[in-house]
Amino acid sequence: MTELTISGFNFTELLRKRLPIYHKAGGGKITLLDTPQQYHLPVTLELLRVLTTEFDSSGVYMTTMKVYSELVPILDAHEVDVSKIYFVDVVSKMYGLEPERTPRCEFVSSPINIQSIKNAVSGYLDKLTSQRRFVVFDSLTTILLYNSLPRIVQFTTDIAEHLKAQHVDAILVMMTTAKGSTNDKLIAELKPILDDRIDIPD
Amino acid sequence: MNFLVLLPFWAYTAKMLSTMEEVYTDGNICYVSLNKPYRILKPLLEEGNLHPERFRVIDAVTRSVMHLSTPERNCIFVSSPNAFDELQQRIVETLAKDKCRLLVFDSISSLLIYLKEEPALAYLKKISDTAEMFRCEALFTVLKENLDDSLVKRLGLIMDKTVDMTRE
Repeated sequence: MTELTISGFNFTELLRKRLPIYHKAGGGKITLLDTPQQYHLPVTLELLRVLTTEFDSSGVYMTTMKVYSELVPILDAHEVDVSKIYFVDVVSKMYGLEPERTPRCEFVSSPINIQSIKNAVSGYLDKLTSQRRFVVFDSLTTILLYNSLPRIVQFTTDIAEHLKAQHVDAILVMMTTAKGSTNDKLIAELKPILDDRIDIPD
Repeated sequence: MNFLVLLPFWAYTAKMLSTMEEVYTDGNICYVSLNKPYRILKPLLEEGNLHPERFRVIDAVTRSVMHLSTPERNCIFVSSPNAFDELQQRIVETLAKDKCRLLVFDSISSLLIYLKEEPALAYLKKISDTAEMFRCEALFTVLKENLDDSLVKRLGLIMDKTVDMTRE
């Protein structure tokens, strides 16, 4: 697999150096991954590939960007080890799809139901047996489309505390398409809970 | 006339739909959705007795999430919520073709995820002018919890009237 380089910046190498899961087996670190929208998909695919294939970790991936049925073939093609991932699909049901039930994916009715998202993530955490566990929230920007800012701040803070207590690493993906005001406000509000931040250049 | 409608999170959709139902009893409505897919919006319109056939929906969220196999009647899909030029073009086409009485822009809150205040205000002014050009009233919705007072005031300067529905 070729390493992902964006504008001369080697993202794969940066992940290998920076991901807290790599540094500390103890875990419980919250990282904000801030990416311009045009790189969102390749960045996310590479993140999941490095986590599952190179670091041999397993985790939960919350998706608001693609429905589960379309996502899995894309991940497979990118050599992501999907057998190490449980999915929380927040969009299929909202878009009127009736997905087939699978033990690998929880279909939440809509991104407004943040309590259901929390419950689904927590439920899967108990099933992860790996020493290195992760949760990727992809993306907070999209969740913000459907919720108020105070609700998202509360949701993220609550879940971050829960993950820290369980020593699970979390990667919060944000998209800074045009660095909108509300996105900036959310990043500022989340600062106290973040252990690290990775910014992908435009 | 253009209106800024401040809505609360918990009754956002219900209050917005009831406003449309009470005030706009006839004519076509161009509904620009930056946060609700058409498949969610359509049943909501039906429940609210709003006659979906009156609506020309411009859906800016569905196409970025899933492959669309079948076109929807009365709905145009835009590639993403931040495809601003494409969105503007579809609004012009719709207003020109369907002689809409009302343009609903849902929502300023979604726009502010992608744009900072200055470009967001400029974009909203452009949409508002477009509606006026087609003699169409415009209703811009916003989630009050996401705004500070200074932005509400600045939005008020480009709107004819502000309706605060969070106090009811």
